[in-house]
Amino acid sequence: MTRETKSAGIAWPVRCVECGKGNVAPTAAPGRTTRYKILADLTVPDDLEIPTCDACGMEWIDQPAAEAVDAALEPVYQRRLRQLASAYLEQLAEQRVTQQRLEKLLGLSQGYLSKIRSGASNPSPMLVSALGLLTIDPERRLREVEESFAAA
Amino acid sequence: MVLMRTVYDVFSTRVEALRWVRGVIADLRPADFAHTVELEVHVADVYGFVVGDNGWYLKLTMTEDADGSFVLVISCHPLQYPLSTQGGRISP
Repeated sequence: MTRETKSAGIAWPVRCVECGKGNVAPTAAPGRTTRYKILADLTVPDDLEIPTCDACGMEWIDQPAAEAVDAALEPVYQRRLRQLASAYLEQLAEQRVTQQRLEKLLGLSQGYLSKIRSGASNPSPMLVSALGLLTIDPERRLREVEESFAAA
Repeated sequence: MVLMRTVYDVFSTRVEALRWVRGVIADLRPADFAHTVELEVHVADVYGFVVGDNGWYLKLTMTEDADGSFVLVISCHPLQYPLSTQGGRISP
């Protein structure tokens, strides 16, 4: 019988096709990192079980595993974005760039950046990217943005 | 369907990767077939196809669990080298 989509998942363990020696079964392990959305090296929760070969270490991602990995990584991803945004905002504050000025230039509602710093809001990856770019020579870049908007 | 070696930096999430590869497999044509390769305990089929301006490489096989057989996608990533398929040569 061939199943196009095994929504209920695989009946583990399965012999590994990669090495032909090990068995693949859901496995939890510390020290794993992976790409998720725009971030390249997010830490995978130690207790998250991912189908993995016990001989070669190859991971097998079926639908339930994909959903579990994505669900586990999303809060890690949001936390990392908040950390990055807060770090960039701190750097900008050290260079005397006010949050009010940033909120006005980036089209954000007043107080939004404070919410991000306090963990009450999650920044978009685009906002984090913009903040990161602004930390490099911020006064010049902010002036360029202000001038481009003024000329528009 | 199960994904093994897939370039996750091309996709936003694992679920998106699965959905995309499932769509690719549904759209495969005989002309996309390149060749068969022997693995440790299986044989696998290699396909090449083009998405936009980019050639892609797909290697899949069938394997089994206790409930029956399923598609195992061994590799799915942008082409690194030109690939000859039944329909012609595909470039990275």
